Amino acid sequence: MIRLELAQVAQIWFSILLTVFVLSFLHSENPLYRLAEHIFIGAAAGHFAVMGIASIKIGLTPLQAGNILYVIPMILGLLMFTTFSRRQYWLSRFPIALIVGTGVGLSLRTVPQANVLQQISPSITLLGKDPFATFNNIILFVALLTSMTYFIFTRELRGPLGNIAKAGRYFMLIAFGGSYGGTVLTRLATLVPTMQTLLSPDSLIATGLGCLLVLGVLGYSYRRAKSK
Amino acid sequence: MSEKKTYAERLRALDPRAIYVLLTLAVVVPILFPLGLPIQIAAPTRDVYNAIEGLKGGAVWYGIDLLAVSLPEMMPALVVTVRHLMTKPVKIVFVSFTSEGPMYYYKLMDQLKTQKKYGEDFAYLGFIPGEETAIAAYAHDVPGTAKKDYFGSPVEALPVMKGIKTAKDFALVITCISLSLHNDAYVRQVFTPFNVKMVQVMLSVNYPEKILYYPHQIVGALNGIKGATEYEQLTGYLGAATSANDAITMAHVLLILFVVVANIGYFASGRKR
Amino acid sequence: MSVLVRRSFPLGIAAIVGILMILELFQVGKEITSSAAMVRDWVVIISGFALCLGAVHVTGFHVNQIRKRTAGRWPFSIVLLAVMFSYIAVGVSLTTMSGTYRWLYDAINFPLAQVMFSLLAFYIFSAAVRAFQARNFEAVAFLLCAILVVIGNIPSMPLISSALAQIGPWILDVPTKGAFRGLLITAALGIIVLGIRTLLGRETAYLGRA
Repeated sequence: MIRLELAQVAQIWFSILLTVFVLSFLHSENPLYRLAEHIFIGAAAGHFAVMGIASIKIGLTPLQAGNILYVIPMILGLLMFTTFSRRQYWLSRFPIALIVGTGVGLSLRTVPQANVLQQISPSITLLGKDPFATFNNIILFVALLTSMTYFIFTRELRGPLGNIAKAGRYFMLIAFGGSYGGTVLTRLATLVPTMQTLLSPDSLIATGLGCLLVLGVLGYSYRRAKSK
Repeated sequence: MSEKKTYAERLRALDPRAIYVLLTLAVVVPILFPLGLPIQIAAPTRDVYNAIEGLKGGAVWYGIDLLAVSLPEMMPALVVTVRHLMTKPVKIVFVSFTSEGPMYYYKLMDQLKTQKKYGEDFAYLGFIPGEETAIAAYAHDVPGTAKKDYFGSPVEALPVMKGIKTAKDFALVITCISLSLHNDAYVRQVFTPFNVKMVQVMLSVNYPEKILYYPHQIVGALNGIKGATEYEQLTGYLGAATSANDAITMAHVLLILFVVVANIGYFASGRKR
Repeated sequence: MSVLVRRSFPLGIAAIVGILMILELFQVGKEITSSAAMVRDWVVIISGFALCLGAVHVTGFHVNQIRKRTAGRWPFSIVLLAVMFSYIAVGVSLTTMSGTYRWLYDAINFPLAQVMFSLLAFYIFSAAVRAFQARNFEAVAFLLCAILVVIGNIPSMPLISSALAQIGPWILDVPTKGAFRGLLITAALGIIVLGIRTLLGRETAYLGRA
């Protein structure tokens, strides 16, 4: 029981200290931030490798069941690593070609319906259940047409066609403005819980210690730079 | 004699750390002194609620397709939707197409503390690599692609998997998505071939772009933490999203103030760059 | 012979499996359907190997940094490799289901990913003050819509001003949807063309260096 609690406390301390080290980057880059950054990269790369190995183990199931054809993906998978070789890199093209070909085939059989037809059909319904809905449908249709016109590159867009493309450009600016609003919400949705974690009663001491460490390192770096 | 700086130049010369301090205060103060601001529910959120509430049986495909960075934004939505699902008479089959998904599964189970039985009421088929190809493979052959559940049991041996062969055998597909390409992949490889009912929980950054699938291809959508806040209000399971609402509101107000002040000054100084 | 093996064979493989996937859609036969399913399964297995590529690349890069004793970097490279191999050792021997692995992940990956992402919030605010001015009509269009959507995203806004609160969602629901739909359809047409070029062997960028 005590061991479990110690593990939980250690986890809180470790995660809070690393969080404060990363936030110190807002002041300036420093060794503590670089330490946290390298720990993160190592952890992420390690996790991907672990999940990859676990997936390969599951992939061995058909082979263990006697399906000899499943030797092929195992060999192709190993050939992926030849990408690091200066002379044998071309062997990695075989598994990549399989992946690309499969992806292309799966896209080609669904994109026309999902991303073209099923997008066009609701857009060309202009009459709505009330005048406001009709107005919205017309605006949506105009935005669709004008933004598509903007991407005509096969001829120079002049005159009325040029004006339509310009209108498309403004609609896209409106869309990117809307997208910016979503970006702000996502970033804040990540920042607020980070702050909540730092200020929670379990974490206050760790947060304080982390801040002191950061201040110490920044102060030392400042004095060293000044003396140089 | 030095030239007088334009307003825009003075703004650009402003120490960004002053702005960071103001933002920190705008976030920290509501955390320490909650305001309890009320919220209103958006239509796509209500449609997600109705889709889950209307389940009378069958199986649900729940995709935990999240990256580690999305934890604070998506965890509340994940918890509240699964909590709601578990009140329905449905079997839930969890799966992940991102490598961080299994870690989310553990956190989800820790928070839910459900009475439902693993293997009979729900199961987790683990992480399947391969992005869109993996989603397509799974949709066409669920047991053949997953092979084993996350804990090593053969999929065929799980009672919850009885009668589930393809995506068509699911009454509803719900997916929590971090990567925008997964939004497209699910619509292309699950909805388009099988025409199965789908709702998506998406990051706010992807929402403006991916909401175009609503309502013809996806029947409902949750807009990140805002959607989670609304869903918590709808279901009554108040949690992390509701507690973050005040701070998010104040930070938004601060941003609007910043932009307004920056532009008032810009126009007042004669729009000099 | 060399060009045939090094370029033509991979292009041929891509074309054959691509056409196989398309033929499956038309349900031409059981053999085609089962072959397509098997190929998809193979891609899932190969993707598992691809996940390990990152670790190999990172190891090579940082071992090089340590060998060269790159100033200010090599001690951190040692830390990075130590963390990475600890993860691999624990994950492979004890599996990701173990308490130890979960401890590591909850202590390192989740909090660090979260805080790295949240740094961007500060930069967005900094940019909003210092660079977000309505210099021309295009900037006004962008700025106005951004602010209206931000206002609409405030969960409590409908109870402060219902009119202002409705403009943001309207912008997302109508002009934004229309413009993004146009972008999606245009991109889809591009995907179709690129896909056909890949199947015909005209698109070779995925083969990498010559």
